[in-house]
Amino acid sequence: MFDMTCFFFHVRTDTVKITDPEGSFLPDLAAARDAALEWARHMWATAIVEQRDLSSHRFEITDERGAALLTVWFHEALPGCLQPAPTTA
Amino acid sequence: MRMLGAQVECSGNLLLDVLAQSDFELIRPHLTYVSLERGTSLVAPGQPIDSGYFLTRGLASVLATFGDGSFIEVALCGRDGLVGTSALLGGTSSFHTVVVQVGGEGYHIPADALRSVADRSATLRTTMLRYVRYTGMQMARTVLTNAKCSVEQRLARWLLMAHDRHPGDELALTHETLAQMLGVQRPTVTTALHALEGHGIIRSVRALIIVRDRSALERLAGKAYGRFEADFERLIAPSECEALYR
Repeated sequence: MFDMTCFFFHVRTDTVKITDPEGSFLPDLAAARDAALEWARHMWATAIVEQRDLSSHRFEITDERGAALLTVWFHEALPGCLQPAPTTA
Repeated sequence: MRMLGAQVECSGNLLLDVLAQSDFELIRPHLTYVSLERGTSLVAPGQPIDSGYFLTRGLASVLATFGDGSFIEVALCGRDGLVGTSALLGGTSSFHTVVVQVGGEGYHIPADALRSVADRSATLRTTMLRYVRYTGMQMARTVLTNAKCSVEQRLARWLLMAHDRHPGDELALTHETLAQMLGVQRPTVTTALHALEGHGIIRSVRALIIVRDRSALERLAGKAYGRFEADFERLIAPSECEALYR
């Protein structure tokens, strides 16, 4: 328990930043990335049904002081066949 | 107006307040006013049902649980009703977990006393059983909305039901708690609340959600917040209940 760190998962799109006011206590940054990918998969599931594109969404993972630790794009959570097409040749 | 202890006031619990005066006098000696801290487990699965609670402030969630610790909310109880209804149905242990989600207060009654007063007064028992029936309908509606409504609709429904059952516009609860109740991910709740806040429907600050535009929440909830969610007073009040289901 003493090794747990509070990670914040802010959602950023091209237009807005949705601040995570609570954070989650997790063992390390790898666990934080895993959590972000799992959440993104769930959010994709709903978005696909509702025909919304989350390609521009990403989690900006920070520590309690707001220092940026890692960015996890939602499309990283998709299976290979669902990856957005590359924008450049 | 009712005498409760030294103070003259309504009890603050709908189920107690709709009782006939004679029924209320029957149950009153068994009631003890208690503080209910957030996170307190009022009922645990497999444990003996030894208590009932008539909340006056705060909210308690009825949770269906798996043995691995996962769970989902199946009903919400506040000042509308009674926690520990199984005691009235011949149960000695509970199927569900009931936990205080928004801290508050209420009246504690020993389960034996609850059974005893229900045995002594048919009218009191009928009123309590109407609430049990209402809870069954609420659970059915929760199943229906979980399967057929969007997260946004279900979130709006939850906030409206919480607003109905807890005095005031402020709900002291975290996004994590809301996510657990709705069986969704925390960022899903945070994102949905952000959208509601953008439209001025709620205000969300750390561990506090303030309802600002109830009508807009009702429009958003649509079919998810219908007669069964909104009309619990009519469903519990005997004469109105008969009229509704005749």
